[in-house]
Amino acid sequence: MKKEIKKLPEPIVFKSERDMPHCPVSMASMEWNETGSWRYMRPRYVERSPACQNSCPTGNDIEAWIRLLALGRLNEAWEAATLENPFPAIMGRVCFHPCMTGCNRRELGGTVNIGALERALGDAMGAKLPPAAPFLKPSGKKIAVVGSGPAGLACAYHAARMGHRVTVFERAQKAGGMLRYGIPAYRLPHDVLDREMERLAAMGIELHTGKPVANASHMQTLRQDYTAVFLATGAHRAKTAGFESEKSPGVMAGLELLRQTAAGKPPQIGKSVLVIGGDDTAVDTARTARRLGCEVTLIYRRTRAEMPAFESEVRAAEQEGIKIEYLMAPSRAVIKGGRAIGLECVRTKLGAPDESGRRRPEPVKDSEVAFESDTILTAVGEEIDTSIIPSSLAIERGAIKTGVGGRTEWHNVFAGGDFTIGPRTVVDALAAGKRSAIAIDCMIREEDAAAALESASICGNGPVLMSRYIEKVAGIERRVATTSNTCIQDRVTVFGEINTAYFTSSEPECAQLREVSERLGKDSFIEVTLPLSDAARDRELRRCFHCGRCTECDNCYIYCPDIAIAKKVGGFEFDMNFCKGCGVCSKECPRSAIEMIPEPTEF
Amino acid sequence: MNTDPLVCGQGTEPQQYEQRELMTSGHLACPGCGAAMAMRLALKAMGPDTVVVIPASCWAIIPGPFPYSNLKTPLMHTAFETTGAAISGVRAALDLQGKESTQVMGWAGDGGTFDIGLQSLSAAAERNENVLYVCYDNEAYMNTGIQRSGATPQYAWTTTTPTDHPKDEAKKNIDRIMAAHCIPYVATTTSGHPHDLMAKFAKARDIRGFRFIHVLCSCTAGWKIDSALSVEVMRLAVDCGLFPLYEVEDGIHYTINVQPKGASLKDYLMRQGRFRHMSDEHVASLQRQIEREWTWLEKQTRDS
Repeated sequence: MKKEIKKLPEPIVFKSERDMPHCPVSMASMEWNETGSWRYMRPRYVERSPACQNSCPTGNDIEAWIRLLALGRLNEAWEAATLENPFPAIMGRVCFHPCMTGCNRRELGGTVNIGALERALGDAMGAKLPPAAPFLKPSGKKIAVVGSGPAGLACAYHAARMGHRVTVFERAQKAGGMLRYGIPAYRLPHDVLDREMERLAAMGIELHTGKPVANASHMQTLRQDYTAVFLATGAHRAKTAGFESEKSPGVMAGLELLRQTAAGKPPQIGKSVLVIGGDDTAVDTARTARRLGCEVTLIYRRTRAEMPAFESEVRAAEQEGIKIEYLMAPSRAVIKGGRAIGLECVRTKLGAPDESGRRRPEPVKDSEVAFESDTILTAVGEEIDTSIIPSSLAIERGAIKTGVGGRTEWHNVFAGGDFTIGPRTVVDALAAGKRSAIAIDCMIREEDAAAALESASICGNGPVLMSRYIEKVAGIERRVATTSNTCIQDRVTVFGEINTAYFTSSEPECAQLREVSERLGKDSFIEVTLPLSDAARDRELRRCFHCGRCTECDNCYIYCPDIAIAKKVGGFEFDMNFCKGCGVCSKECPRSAIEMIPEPTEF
Repeated sequence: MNTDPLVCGQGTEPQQYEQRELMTSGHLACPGCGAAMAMRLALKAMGPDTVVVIPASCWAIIPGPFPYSNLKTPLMHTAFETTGAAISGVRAALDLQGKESTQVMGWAGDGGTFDIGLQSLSAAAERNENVLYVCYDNEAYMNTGIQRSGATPQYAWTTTTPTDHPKDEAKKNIDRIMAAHCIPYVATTTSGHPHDLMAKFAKARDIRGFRFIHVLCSCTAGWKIDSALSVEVMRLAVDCGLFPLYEVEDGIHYTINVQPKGASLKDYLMRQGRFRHMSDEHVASLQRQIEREWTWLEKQTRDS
């Protein structure tokens, strides 16, 4: 640390009485008196990770884009958001927002509705999204991505930003994977998805749709033609529900209904439909069937409390007239003329917890119930189609074995998303795609991927940040700046560090849902969740604490009794010549962006 | 006027106040001094065309010894009991020179206001001199070594009211005394509420006649607090209801500016070494005084 050098006024020295004025009058300011020498603690500006960022698997810098959006700097907000998470408009709609679980606002009126704000950011960019420019020069290396779901697209996006040439192979007619064929259009409209696909194409990513990579030999060709291959073909094979005569006509997978409906060719499923399952796919299946004009009953073997589906989705399903039978397990399809016409079920009660921690349903004796149905739709989970995995690659727990950054036993083949073992959510798939993109980049640079991923992650084990990786490999600074002279710390801000005197308790703004009559009307796949109004969005933006980040709120500057904090363009600066080290600035910082440290003994 | 104490710190909006500094660094106030904050903020609102008059007090020391001053405005030092007379004289001299727009601001401590300077203050108020009188109140004679004053709260420790004989008498209500002079403007504020403070000084600046502002200022040495807590205790003093922030216009129109947030009185007291010896009965007694004062204040607000 260097000593601050500033020209200060000299004390006035009277050599004789004649030098003195006729009456005692001041002739100079006190600035010759360097009160900095009184100090034994000194303040410094710090920047820490907000809790939301640390709770997001992609490490999305939510605080940065909320701050920029609140200032009306839309393009910069978009840049900041798409640095870590390529698809704000999509994720604002479909993510389960673990960031909101982490949000420190929870303690003061409720968590910031980051989901609605993320959607607002994506939608504010209009119909044509700006393609993300690469950070690095073209590497000339070719990368193949197999599967265009969230993991594949994220890998393609991040690899392209690192200067690689990416080709995506997709079996279906359109790109998007589960985003298009698994999540119904009333939750994620296809035009939102198409906008993002156009943006990826504009970035130079080649999307080859209708091109299945069907088998192991095909895989061998790819790994020879491309520097690296990323496998993200997802988990599309529906698990069996395990009741008698499940293979009969009249029983189909819920996923199949979703896929065909998304492709614009919904199957004939009759009038009365039973859906078996309790996860999001089950609820999506039920609500899709309802939109196709069916009477729908959802059958789930546990209670509402154990249901893995989003609470809000279950509530919306009930509003739409879907009947839910809890504590009910299917035992046998009723077959007539070779076709399932109903389902025999048995009531269950909850027993001891199983390995997932949820209480295991146990059948109740003599409690059989029969339901009539035109179609039975099963949605009890998905598994991986392992047929494209070459036999020389190890398989572990039904998935390909992967190591650091999704690397398989073949040095240039990586895998991620639902295709591998791990949490099966869209945001986790995006994070896996990013990790693999970095691991592939490390492979090309002949660097240690494990070390690179660790140094790019929050606290060494949290989400991996692209901003940190590109800063490390290429010295490119893309962090959204707060105040100048900030000491960046690899630490997460907790609620106890927020000075709540500066915030009032307020409830979050909630997005409204479209009326049920409209949802089930002529245009039945119209988006259910409405956007926040502009006023509500602005109110919600202002609820953010901006944990651990300076917003230039001026508190430190205004309270400083020693006028030792200067306002400059882009932030503040302490004047250590005068700072007495009282600590008021640190204590009164609403968001813990100033800390007090012992005065150094050496300069 | 926006006197919401929460305006600062909330979000990302630029703040609305004078950026120019009329006070310099290098002054002799203790680290975290509430009185130093108060002067800086007050001058931001008053502007450079202001003459400051300071009697014996901490603020007689803070600006520095002869031949220095940390204020960029004229500053006249005067004797302890003379603030009211001195500001009247400075006013008359300025008026004779035709400098009627120049502001005169007396800046006395609680000892110089509640006790020693009360007669000259009362006389100047009675004459409705066109001046602003500020009492920065740190609740004891801090500069001379923390002796009790008429502004020291009941049960507080000072060097003349040690913990086995803490102060018996309640704090004198100077604001009611001043309001009883039916002067155009009386206001209370603290340097822990900078926007409220600046708004009140700006309002006082634009009023003709005698104006009185009572600023609660924390004293880290005399209140026995960590310097970093300086602002927090002032905020708690308001939030627990002990120090109400209000204005009285023409002696009769009462406005409460900040509603206490319901902080605990005990929390306020126990953060400060000067109160830490207080028994629960003392705290309860002080709580009753707060309730009485608020009942009276709210009645004034309703009636005005």
